[in-house]
Amino acid sequence: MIIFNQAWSEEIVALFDELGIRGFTKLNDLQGRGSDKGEPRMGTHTWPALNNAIYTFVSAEQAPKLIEALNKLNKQSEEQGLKAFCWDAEVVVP
Amino acid sequence: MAATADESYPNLRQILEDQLVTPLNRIPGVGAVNIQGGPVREIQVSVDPQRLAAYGVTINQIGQALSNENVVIPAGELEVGEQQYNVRIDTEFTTVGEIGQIIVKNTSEGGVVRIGDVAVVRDAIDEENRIEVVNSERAVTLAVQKQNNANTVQVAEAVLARIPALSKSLPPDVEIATVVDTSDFIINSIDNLSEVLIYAVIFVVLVVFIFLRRWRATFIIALTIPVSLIAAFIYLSITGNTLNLILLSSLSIALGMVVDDAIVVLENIATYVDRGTNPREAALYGTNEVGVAVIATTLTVVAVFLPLTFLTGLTGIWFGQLGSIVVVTIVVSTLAALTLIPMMSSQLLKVQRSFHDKSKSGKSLRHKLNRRVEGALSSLGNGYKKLLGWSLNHKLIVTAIAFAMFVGSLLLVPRVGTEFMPQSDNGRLMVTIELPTGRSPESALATINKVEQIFFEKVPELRVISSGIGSSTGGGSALGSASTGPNTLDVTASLVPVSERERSVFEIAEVVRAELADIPEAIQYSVSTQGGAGAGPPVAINIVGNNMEQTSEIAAQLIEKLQQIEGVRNADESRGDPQPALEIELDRDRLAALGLNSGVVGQSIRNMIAGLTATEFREEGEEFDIVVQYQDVFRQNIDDIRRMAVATPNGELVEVGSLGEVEEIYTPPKIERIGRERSIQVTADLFETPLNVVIEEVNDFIANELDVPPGVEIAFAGDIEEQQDAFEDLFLLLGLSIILVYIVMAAQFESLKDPFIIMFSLPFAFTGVLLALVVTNTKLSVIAFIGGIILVGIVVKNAIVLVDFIQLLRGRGLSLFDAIVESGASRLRPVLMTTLTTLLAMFPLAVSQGEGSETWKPMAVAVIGGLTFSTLITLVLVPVLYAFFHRKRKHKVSLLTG
Repeated sequence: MIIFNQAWSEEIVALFDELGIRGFTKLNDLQGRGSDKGEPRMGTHTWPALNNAIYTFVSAEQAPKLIEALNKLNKQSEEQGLKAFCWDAEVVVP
Repeated sequence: MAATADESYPNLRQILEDQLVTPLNRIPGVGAVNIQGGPVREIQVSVDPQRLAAYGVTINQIGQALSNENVVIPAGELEVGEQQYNVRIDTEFTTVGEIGQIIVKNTSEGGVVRIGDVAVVRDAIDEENRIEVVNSERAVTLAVQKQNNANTVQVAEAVLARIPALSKSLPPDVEIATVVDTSDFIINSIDNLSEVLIYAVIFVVLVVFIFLRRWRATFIIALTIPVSLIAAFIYLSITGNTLNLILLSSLSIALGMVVDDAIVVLENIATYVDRGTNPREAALYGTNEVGVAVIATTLTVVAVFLPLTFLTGLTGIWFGQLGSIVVVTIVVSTLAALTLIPMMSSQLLKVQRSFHDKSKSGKSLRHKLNRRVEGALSSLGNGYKKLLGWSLNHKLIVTAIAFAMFVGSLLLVPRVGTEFMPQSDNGRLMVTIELPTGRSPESALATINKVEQIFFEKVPELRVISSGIGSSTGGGSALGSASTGPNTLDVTASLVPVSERERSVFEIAEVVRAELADIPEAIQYSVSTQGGAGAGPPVAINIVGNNMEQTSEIAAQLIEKLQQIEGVRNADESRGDPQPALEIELDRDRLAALGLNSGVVGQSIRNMIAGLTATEFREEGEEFDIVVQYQDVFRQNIDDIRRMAVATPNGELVEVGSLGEVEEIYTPPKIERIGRERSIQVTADLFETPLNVVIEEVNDFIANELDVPPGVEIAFAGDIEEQQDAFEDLFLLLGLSIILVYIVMAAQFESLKDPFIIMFSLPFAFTGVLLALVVTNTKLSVIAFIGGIILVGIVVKNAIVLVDFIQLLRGRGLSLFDAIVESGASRLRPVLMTTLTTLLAMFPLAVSQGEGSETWKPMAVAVIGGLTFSTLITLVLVPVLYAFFHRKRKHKVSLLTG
């Protein structure tokens, strides 16, 4: 799962295309705040920004490439608050 | 316009009528061409009354004979075979000599009486009743008036363009000069304002650049200016308005505000881009975030300007348009800020990073400027932070100082004079001189010479001087100055343009006034400088009452009082001095016995003195009056009138002297009425004295010293009345604007307390206005007042930005103190930037010296003063008051509701 400032939606999807990842599920306009720092994203007057999140399930070979690419993107601008979590998954309905 | 000539003068009027007036009348938009002065050809039949009596002929008979013998009668048609003939009788005079041969009467002895026997027929010129002198030469003046709906500038251009071609066909010694061209003032004012507008644009763009120091960002923001201007012009063409002074002034007022929204939007987008978002998405989300705030601030401005469109009266004409234009431009600029700006940013803001790279290596002027400005701004920011910190710890002292300043400024109120509309220098002086009554126009030529001499010697700025004396012949006097009596001399002096002279028209008027005092034959004189938007002289007092003696008496007392007040000029009354007249009181009993009545006798006497226009003499397509009247040697004095003979129905002649008394009396030249009651208007001009001072003194005088008899009413009119009406309207408007702005803010903040805090920036705007007016010695006119109202919308903007951000930071969990200091520091730049753009857009209007600049100057001065002062105070006092009002309540912070 990748959570990011909605302003980065385009970059993330472009990243997927680059890596040849086709499938994903995107959730839009999410509120939230970071665990230790970073501005909350509330879509309000006080905290105007909002987050988006993407679920994608990739093969074990693709996963490290994606994680590397996301880390590189996060380095460019940490304020955008990119977060990504990775866990094992099993396909039950193909 | 005036035409002068040497040899051709006797025929000048005729020549001009043929060669100029007719072609000029054909120009579209020209309403009327009035011709004044100069000789008019007429055929005079001067009757010798003694011969009349001897032959038993009357003037009426001569008139009858002339009109009967000078006819063209179509008598029908006659068919002879296949040929058709028109039958006509044509006895029109072909030569002047023919007239003398006309037979008036067959005597009982079988002889005939011809006109030549009793009168002298002369091809002469009319006894002039008006003399025009231009630059010391006898002249004929032409006044071209436009049709009501025509455009002055276009008509004037068309007329002036035709003149050179037309004057080629005139005799070579005829010279044509323009005396007054009202379009000059309009064109120059528009030019001047356009210049002001261009400077305003330059200043605004410069301010934006200095603060942002990025070409592309500056370009994007500057783009809203043409967009809003185009919108304003589209609005104008839809509503059918013309490009006028109000429009241009409105635009320069709006100019400083149109970039504000764009700045806010662009700043937010730039923040996103700085964080590495790609410009397209940065534009999208950056705009969404601030959209509501931008619309809210626009609403406060609209809340102030929209009510202006509901004003009525003269002020409504002026400011209705101002209101609608500013509303249109501001709304369009907001739309542009929400659509055009994000779009442009997404396309243009990409280069941002490369700019940063260059800034490290480059040492160009821009980078020097960059460092300097950045340094100055950050030290300013730090200083402000410190000041804010100190103020928050000394709330009471700060509040007390601010309060003292406001109260102190109220003490300035008595020092601010008021006026209705600022007088503008249109480079024209009108001099009216009243000469002793009962003198002929010819005798005034000497006085005209003296007046011209004064101008030639004392006024080097003179361009052309035109004088006229005597009552005008139809259609009003040529050059706007309406002299009615034969003893009133009016002079119009046009000066060179404002830019070419150092003295203002008002100062020159003072000089001329002083000089005129040395002309002994001038009973009364006035020098006025008509200009500006006010109608007529600034001081006008109506005295209404049917008893003419009482009202005259009061008028005289008021004039005396007015003359004592410093700075009052040209105090005069409308009724004027009595004119001498000869009144013939007919005895009805005697008339009846002779079979006469007053009407018949009156008409006969009129024919003898004024003359009877019997018929017309036609020559080369032109018609000239044939006037029968007594030879002038027989109408010289009262006795001549007594000796005039009137024919009774049975042919006998009776002298007027035996029918009644001829008396010398004095009659008032004109009687005016208001509401069916007779009235006199006392008027005066002012020189550097405020209107309110005069009103007070006059009111005081009426209440305490003047003894007003019952049935007599005294009321102010003219500018005073207009000003009182307008000020009442404007006070209402001011109240309305404040309430509307409060409502808009209350809705925006969802609070009643916060808008109240913001409202504290208002009193200091008025403090600033008062200070600016006193320092620049500007009077509080309707224009300056409107400036004050506009301020309501402008000054709260700064406080809104500040308070809004304090709320935001508190919402983000900062303590009250930190939130205030932090928001102060971070909002200082945007506040300074938007304030400076508004200030500098107004600045050219305030300092402009050009033609017509006087009109809008007070508004610019008021706004600049008010905005500067209020911004300085707002930056300190509003945070302090915020801290004061929010000191107890713990702000509930909920991240999810925000």
